[in-house]
Amino acid sequence: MKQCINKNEFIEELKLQLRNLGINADSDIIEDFEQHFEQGIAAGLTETQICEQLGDVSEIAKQYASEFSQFSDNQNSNKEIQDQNNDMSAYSSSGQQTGQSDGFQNQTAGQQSTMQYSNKKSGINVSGLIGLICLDVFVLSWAIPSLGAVIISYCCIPLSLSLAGVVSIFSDAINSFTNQWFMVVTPFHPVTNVFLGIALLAISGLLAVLAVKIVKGFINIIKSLVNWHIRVTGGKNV
Amino acid sequence: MNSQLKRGTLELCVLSIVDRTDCYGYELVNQISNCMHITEGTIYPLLKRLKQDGCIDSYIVESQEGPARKYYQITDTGKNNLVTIKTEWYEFVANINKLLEGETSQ
Repeated sequence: MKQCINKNEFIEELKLQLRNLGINADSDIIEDFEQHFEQGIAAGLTETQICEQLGDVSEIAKQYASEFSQFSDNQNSNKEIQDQNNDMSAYSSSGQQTGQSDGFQNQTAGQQSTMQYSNKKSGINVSGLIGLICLDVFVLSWAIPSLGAVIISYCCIPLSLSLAGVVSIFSDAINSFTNQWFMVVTPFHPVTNVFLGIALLAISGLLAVLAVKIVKGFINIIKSLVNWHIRVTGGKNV
Repeated sequence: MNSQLKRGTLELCVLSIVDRTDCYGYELVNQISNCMHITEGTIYPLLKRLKQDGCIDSYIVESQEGPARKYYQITDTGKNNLVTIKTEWYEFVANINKLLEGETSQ
């Protein structure tokens, strides 16, 4: 569970989780939470406390999915529990019809619309599948590996720079150990080597931080793509 | 406490609170968390769904001293649903209690 410590982190994380589940983080949703934070702060709480009270962002996102989408873990697991609850004639908030519950007839169109989601058969979406196969074969099969290759080569930059930096700093020491068979040769004064090495290390550090973000972003893209594939073909989200 | 039980009664709780008086989100969340221990943030998805189903409505109230607030109010559809769910709830609880008393008397 990602622990958010302020309002912006919470809302950004919520947007991300919703996006991963294929839900549009519309202004209604964002407004609700923005106002919740405003009220909480006016009541004297810190943003961190409010985040803690609101709870786990991915659970909240899953709840949006279960209230509105037809293909979500929560909906399916609600369905299983519905089958258990059928025997108890328990009333559930998703308004799904139960076998023996004549007393639980849902009269409103709204609740019938959520019933439709649960009653719809989950089959394989054939046209979606064909479209996906075309996309995968003609576009993603080269696009994703190329992007991956570019990212890997980018990651090599901070790696090699940091190695160069270390070698440069310790060039004197290395040379005195290895003598004939391996020499570190630079056109600079030994002292310059040290400072150059430090500079290289610093630059590689900055680039490494960027590399981490890029890799994380790439992994998220892959995850969303996979989820989207699964959803279009009519399965459960990973 | 069983989380399915809590989620099942959440709609009943929300509707009955909003039936008594119009509330803004934060207020509603606080009242419910006083009554049961759930992930507070998950009340908002329920509110959104209830609004979509036409059980509740929202309106904005501008304020001089503080930020603008979105108030939720119950609709006629919501009132009807509330009556239905409440009756079912009382019936359900009565039946369970009867069953439990039956157990202990044996």
